[in-house]
Amino acid sequence: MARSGPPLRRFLNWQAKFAATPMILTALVVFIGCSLWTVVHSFTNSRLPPRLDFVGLAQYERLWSTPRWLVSIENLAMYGVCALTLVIGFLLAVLLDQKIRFEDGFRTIILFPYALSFIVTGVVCQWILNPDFGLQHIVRSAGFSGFSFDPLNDPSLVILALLAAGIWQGAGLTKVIVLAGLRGIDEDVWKARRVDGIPAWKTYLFIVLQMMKPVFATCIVLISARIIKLYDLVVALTRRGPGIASEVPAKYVYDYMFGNQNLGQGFAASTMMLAAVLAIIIPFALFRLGRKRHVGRRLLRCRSGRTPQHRSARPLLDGPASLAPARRLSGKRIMIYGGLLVFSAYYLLPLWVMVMTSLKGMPEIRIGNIFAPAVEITFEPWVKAWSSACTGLNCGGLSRGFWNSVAIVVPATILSIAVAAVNGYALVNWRFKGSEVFFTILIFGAFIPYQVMICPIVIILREIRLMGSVWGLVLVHVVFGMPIITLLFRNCFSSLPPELFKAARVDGGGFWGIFLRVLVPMSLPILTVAVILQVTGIWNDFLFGVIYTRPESHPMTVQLNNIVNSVQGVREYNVNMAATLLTGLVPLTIYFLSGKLFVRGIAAGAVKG
Amino acid sequence: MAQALRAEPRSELDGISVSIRDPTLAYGVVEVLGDLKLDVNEGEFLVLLGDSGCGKSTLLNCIAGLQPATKGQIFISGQNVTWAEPSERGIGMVFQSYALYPQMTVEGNMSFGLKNARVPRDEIAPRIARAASALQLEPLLKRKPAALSGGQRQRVAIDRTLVRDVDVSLFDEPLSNLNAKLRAELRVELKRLHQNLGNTMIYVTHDHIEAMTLADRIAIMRGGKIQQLATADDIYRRRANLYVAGFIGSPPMNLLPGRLDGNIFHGPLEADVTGYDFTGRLRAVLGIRPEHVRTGDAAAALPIRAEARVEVVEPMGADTPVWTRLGDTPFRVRLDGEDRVRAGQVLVHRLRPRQPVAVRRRHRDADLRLCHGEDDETVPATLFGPLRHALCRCDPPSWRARL
Repeated sequence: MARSGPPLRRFLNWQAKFAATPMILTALVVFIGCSLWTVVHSFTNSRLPPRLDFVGLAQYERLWSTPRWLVSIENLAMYGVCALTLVIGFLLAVLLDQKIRFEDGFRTIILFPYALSFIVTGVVCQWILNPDFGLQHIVRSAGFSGFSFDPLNDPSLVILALLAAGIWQGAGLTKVIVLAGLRGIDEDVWKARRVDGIPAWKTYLFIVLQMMKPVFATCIVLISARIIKLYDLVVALTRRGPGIASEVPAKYVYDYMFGNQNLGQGFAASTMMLAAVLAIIIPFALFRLGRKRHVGRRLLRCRSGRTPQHRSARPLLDGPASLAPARRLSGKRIMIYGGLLVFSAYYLLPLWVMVMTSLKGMPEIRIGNIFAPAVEITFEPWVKAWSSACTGLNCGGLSRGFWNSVAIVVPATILSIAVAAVNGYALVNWRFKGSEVFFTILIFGAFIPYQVMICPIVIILREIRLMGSVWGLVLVHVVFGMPIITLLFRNCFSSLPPELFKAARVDGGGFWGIFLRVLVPMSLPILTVAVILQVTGIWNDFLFGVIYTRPESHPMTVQLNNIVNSVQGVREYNVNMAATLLTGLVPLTIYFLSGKLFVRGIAAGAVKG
Repeated sequence: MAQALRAEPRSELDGISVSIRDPTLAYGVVEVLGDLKLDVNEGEFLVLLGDSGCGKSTLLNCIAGLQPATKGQIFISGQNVTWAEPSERGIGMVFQSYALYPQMTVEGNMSFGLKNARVPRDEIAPRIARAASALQLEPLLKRKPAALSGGQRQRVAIDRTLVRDVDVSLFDEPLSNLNAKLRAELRVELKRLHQNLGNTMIYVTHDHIEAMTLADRIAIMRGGKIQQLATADDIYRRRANLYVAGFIGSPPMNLLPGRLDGNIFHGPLEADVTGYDFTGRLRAVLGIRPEHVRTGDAAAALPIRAEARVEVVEPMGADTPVWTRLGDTPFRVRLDGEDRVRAGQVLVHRLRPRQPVAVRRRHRDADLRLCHGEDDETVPATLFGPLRHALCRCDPPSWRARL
């Protein structure tokens, strides 16, 4: 009798393991290996190249006695405390939840900055806050000549500028998550409130807020993780200035590693970042593992429309809102619409300023104010930004960066999705021993600050001779995109009826046959979400582009930053704005075309942090 | 593979389509299927019947190879397929949720398995045409599953197994997602199909009407074990134990707890059970089928008599289930649709015990039956206390010996 174990089953299992190799390698080599490497080297006095010359805690002692580091921690704390995004996001979500007209329009306006790169955000804010042309100039020319508001040059105010920019970009994310949570609350709660005659604000404060605790926990963790990683925005907006007033840890790490070539110091600082993130993530994960429900998870099903098991709850992203429609324009309605309009203005103004400035000639910019519409419309700045703007001595315009970005985004998106989809498939349908462990590491890896891993990755890329090339950067994007996209596909596949997989097995589909011919065609919506997520994410990336490519293959965001912040010659603000718009054009187009799918992508990307 | 598919001696598996020997399926330390031996004859329609969680679907998945057994053996058409892939077992399977591939047309759904098996292209079309004609699916071949009704979808799912010319078709509660009318229609169609094709079918359901109407033999399962394996008729008339007795029938059999004193049963009603195999002083359960109770003048001659108060009447047209109470004990009877009863009325029940055992074992008139509680878990322990094992038997031991 055959008692030795099913041979074919073993073969299929082997296939599943083979298919999951990229996931296993990423989890073990990058997320665990590289992090450990950095932690170990933080106890050495490595300069360039890194050596295992242990000096104990010397690097940490030095770190904590460096004013720059202390300032950066202080900034981080300030930024964290002032991270009003949660409050603002909640407020926005509540406003949007009032069964208002043009809900989709408001939602689109509030979320669009999230589609943009931090570099774009930074450049725009820099322009609006420019003391000679921006807010200060406008108020002064309105008659208040003594008015002074120059946060970019005032050490005590610069953090506010960062904060305003951060909220502009990030509050939309909180809004999406909170709104999803609000819409997930059973409609009967609202019916009960109306029967019992409890005022709406009390319901929100005492009932809804209590029910949404897990949602807020998610938001806080995501926001904290993002704040700790904060880097691109600082680079583009303030470059840690004035002086060191807006220094942040991520930038400190980068400067010590690649500027001062004091690797040991950089490692120590990045290890501190890792410790901070772990201190946030681990309690959260323990809390979450106990209770399996996840806000994002319901957004991640393959088929968004039909979820019969939730028929009683309201649809998450569309459908009727909680309150009965108001027939007349009451005072309350006016307040709601007023609030939304104010927020919309806040979100739209920078876009308006960008477009108008890019259409003006330099003389008009010098005499006018930045909010005024363009009188003599000229497209010359656009042409110049595209074809002849200078970075240093190279005056080829942004076009080179654009094509570099395309050359990076296309293969990176295709590869990362292919790899992650197979991972998700293996995780759901062909579980093997340890598969869940690897997946957990992968998800944890999504939260590890990149600064911890960049240096060992440089070494790995150099060893496999991909350092500096576009393909090296593609590989990096595949690795760091893997956690979230894998999660996306895993949740999607596990929401499909298991009978389908069984039927396909009875019908004789093999490992790849079932995947390609049954599951993939069924998950086209999630595939679209993944494409949107990856294209915008990779397009907007700055850090990896700066580190892993040579100047001739810099992606567009890096080139934009170089053009805008190049110190040679006269600053041509209109060209800068045109360049910024050009850089933001691709993600913005995707955002406005894809609509709800993008929102789903963001809810998923939320985990990416 | 060759090793795994080693043929068994012909003598043992002659005429047996599917044979399962002691399959064990362990989830961690929990063993779902116990020691179990089941032979399904060629061309037989076997129904696995039981409540949810009884292991019937697990057993079916084991036969299909979707949940490989950790121990034991499974033979299909004389070959050991214990470790074989589902697609290599010569089986087709129909699922409760249809499990049609939504992105493929009906035709695509039917041909997917054939393509995977590398059947030549010019052979696929005639096979699809032949299978489609069996269930009148020709007009639907170009449609996608989303454009089909529930009944049509399940027809496609059934056809998907037909087209592959398999030896054994497996059905996992195929009709449970359909409404009552469609279910009845498709049930007849399935039976007709089986009569025409004559291939082996194994069918899982929790609906005893489906089981009774479709099956050549029914296996009633509970806790991973087969309680009784017999024809529908035998299961209805000669159930093996209390569980089977309470499971089959609609409304189910009344099980009245009481005591046996000599030949007289004392409980909610008194009955003379002379002629049964058991006498003595012991606790016992008296089982009475609701449809065997008679009322009115025509039944006046029947020997056993009891008075009961009517609580709820559920008129259904052809017949009328009535919930009554014998003292404190609920007692259901099924009256003819023409009988008029009202809630609160006192009804006189009359019964006739079956003929003495000595005359004929295969009796036709089994109105009254005493059941044993030996190896039976459904009866609450509190009812019987320590005497659980000293109960009288439902049937002569010979019946159980046949299992």
